[in-house]
Amino acid sequence: MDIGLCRRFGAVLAVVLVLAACANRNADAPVAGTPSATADIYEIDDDNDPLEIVNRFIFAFDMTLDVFIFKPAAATYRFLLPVEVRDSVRNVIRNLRTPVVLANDLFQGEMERAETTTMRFLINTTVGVLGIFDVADGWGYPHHDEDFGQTLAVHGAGEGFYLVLPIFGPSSLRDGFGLVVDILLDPLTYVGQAYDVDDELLARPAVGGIDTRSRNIETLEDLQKDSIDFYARIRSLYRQSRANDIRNGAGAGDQVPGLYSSEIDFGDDADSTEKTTD
Amino acid sequence: MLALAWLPASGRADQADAAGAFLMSLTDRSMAELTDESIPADQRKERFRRLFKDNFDIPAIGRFVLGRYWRPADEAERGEFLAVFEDVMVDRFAPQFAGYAGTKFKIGAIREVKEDNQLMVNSTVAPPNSEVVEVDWRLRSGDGGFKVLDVVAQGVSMALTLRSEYASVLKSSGGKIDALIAMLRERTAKAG
Repeated sequence: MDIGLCRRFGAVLAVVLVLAACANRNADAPVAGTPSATADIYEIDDDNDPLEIVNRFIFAFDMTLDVFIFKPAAATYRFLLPVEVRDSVRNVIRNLRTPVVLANDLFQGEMERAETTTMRFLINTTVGVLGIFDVADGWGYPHHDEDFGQTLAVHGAGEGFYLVLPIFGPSSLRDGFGLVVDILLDPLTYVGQAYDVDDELLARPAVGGIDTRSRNIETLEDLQKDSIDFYARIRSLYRQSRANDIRNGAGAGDQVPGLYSSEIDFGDDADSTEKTTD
Repeated sequence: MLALAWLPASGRADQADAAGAFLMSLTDRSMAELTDESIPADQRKERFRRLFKDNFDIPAIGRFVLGRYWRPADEAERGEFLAVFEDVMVDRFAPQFAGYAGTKFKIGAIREVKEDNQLMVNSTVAPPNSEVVEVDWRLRSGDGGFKVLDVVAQGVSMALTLRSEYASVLKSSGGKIDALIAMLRERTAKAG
């Protein structure tokens, strides 16, 4: 590792520590039935999007790229390659991501998931022929993803604020930093640097991105069809979906305690709504 | 007065069973009535609308979706909003059922959410040739049986997503419900 990388890593760590220390208002995951429920209701309607104007601009830029480049590329990819090949592409990319997932499993203290990640790598790299076949899934080691943004969240860091990144799309201050840390955590980053094959750095995310996009063509179309503010819809979807990832899918639905409970939205004549949203 | 004699312990177990049965029958009926690809689109929409009206608490969902903007609205605006909201939901979800015959549902954990007779029912939905989706249903039991209040797919709540989106639109239109209704109406006209 050269000095430049060390310095970069140091800088990122420093920011990470600050973020974790801030552990701001989003830190306490709302739990149904707790007295903090009123505060969480406020959270529901809080956009936490101070950069909205810039974000909307980048979102429009991303959508344009999508219309002219990513979506056609994904559609072509899907049209040309049979599903078995596309699944293999995804398998290889997932297998290459093992070190990042494993590191974050460990950072989060998820030992069982770390074991699953390790077993998957051992099985799929050997029996699965360098990750081309996901044999491990059938052997009781299903795939899961982790990233440093989630690790920060598990340790109490709030999302910071909403952020739309060029090309990468919806993110947040926390998840944006997580993305950088994940790149630094990835051994392949250094392989690419050592052998001066920077193309690898771009090829993998590009192929992975096209593959993922090819699996969402109809879903995104449907999402857009009845939308009257697609930016706001995606912002909400991103947040909820990240919250779900951070919980590792456990207890979905709990994040909105008493969603319809009488004191919040059914009290037509009560003043509770104003009180909680002021 | 019967309600006072209600026994919480055994009553709750019955409640959970009944909620599971309600959902199973709702999904069975949806599969039977909506998935056949030979059904004309209009007919599928009408069938979906009937199921939606009978089994979802549309006024409650609409009220939640409008959030803080519900109360300042007058009766006429509320009625108009609920009508166009129903159309938007029908246009959005009815076509999704086409070709989903053979989808498998499994009811998982059922638990009560706070007071207000609400239940969260966890389920997995496995469409043919597609990945399994984790779906949580928020139900409320009332005099007329159960009604769906929200559908949460992979942790994403339908009601909350719409609430965020509509709030954003309402904020930029200065809180005018008319503007929101007009935009939604334009959408449904396009979806025709």
